[in-house]
Amino acid sequence: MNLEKTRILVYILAVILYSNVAYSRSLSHNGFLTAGFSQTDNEISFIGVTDEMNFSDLSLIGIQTTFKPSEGPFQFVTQLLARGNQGWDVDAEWAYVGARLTDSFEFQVGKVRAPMFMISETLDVGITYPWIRPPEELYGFNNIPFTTINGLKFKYRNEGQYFDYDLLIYGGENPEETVTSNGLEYLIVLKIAGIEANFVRDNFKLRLSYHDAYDLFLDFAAELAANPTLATLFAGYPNGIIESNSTFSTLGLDYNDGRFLLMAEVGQRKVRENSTNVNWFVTVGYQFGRFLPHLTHSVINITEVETNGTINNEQQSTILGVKISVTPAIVVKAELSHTHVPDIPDDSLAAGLFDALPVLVSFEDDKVNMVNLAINMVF
Amino acid sequence: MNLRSLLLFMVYVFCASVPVIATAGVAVIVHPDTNIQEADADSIKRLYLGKTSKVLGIKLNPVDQAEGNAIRDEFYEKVVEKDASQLKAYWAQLIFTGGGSPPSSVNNDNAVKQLVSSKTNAIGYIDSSLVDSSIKVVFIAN
Repeated sequence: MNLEKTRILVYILAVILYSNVAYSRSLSHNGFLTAGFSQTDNEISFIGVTDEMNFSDLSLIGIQTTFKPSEGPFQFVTQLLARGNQGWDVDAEWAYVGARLTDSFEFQVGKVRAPMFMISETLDVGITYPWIRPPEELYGFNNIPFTTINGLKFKYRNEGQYFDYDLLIYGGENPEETVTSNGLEYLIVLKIAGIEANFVRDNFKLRLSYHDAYDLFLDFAAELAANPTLATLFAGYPNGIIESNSTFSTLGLDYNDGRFLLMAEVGQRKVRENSTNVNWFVTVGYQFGRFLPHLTHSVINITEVETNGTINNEQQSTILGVKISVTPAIVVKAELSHTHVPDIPDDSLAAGLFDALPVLVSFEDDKVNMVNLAINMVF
Repeated sequence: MNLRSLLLFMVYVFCASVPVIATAGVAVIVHPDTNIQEADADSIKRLYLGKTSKVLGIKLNPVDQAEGNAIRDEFYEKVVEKDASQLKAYWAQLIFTGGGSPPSSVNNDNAVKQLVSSKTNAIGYIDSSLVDSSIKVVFIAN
């Protein structure tokens, strides 16, 4: 954590403590924490993990402060997040003003979570879902390379005769942000709009969403300048900028009656006139007292390949895990996963989600096993 | 001590070591002047999960009991159909998405009774053996 960010954190904590005295009835603090361990059996990095013990990739801590004035519909929410794999630098993951104008209508303005997936909103709060790592094939940065936007969300909810439903419309942009995919750093420039609908009845939830990233650029010009071997791989992008304007559609199902658990979600990402991939997972589980054993199958399926060359990320994983409720606020999880990058005829660009470029290493028909252990807590 | 006596002793020790907290049932209560005579479990469940703010068209503020109270666990298992861990995960989902916060809680049955008997827009739950004329029962879970 650098000095400047430490100062910011100390300042924010001081504000919180002072404010807590002045507005104790209006201010609430909540937090979440994950401490975890990961290791694979492959020396090449796979989603940030190698065959060496890794205690930082999963670990994170988040503090959320909500200030709700005693009068009026507004609330002010800040969520500070520090991740082990980012050197514990503190970032404001969320910072928005929200208002519930009526029982049915609310909005949020500011830095908010991009509602791409079924569990996007609680992606960092491990206690709310069964896995240690939500299925990387769908939820990974390789598929959707951002999690937050600066923008607006409008939500309408109502109770129907047969089910409750809510509709969410949002739009915004991503502040320039660097992400890593297949070992390559990209700068993202993004404008996006979308719609989401949820239908809930008893223990069953159906979610549909559609997103249009109408202005999306992945800029790796700096990497290209530094590493000439990339020029061959990305011959179609001599300037080091990939225009990835995309649409993304999802369908998700969630059933949890307290015993039986079923989760399934599929997302189709269509990069205009270039490529299409359909990524999905299915999870089943059964609660035995404090124990929730679960099994997941998760797939990246490229259905339409770009002609001028990009990395092929096809792979599939099977994940066997257990979530153990130690107390209501603390869970322990263990997971074993097996991932296979298929042998794709006439395609030397297969890389799955390995953190290296296929021009440097051949990943075809490669396999990787991973063990993950984690403690999730909310407070 | 023969084998039979030893077994009886062990059964006695086991039974004595298991905390037995029995309640007569959970009574869901409102102020006597509140215009609700009877509520169904589903309406109460939805209210306590923050899915609605009304029961039979009347806006009510749910009052919870402190975590760890036996009557709280009984209420959530029988009426809301969630155990303590599932409930924590449910509220974590809402809290960390700005989607809502759990009902405010008080320490025990007597505090719930005192609060509900003084506010016409409050609803709470207590051990049904503690019901008296200061409050009105709208649902009982046995």
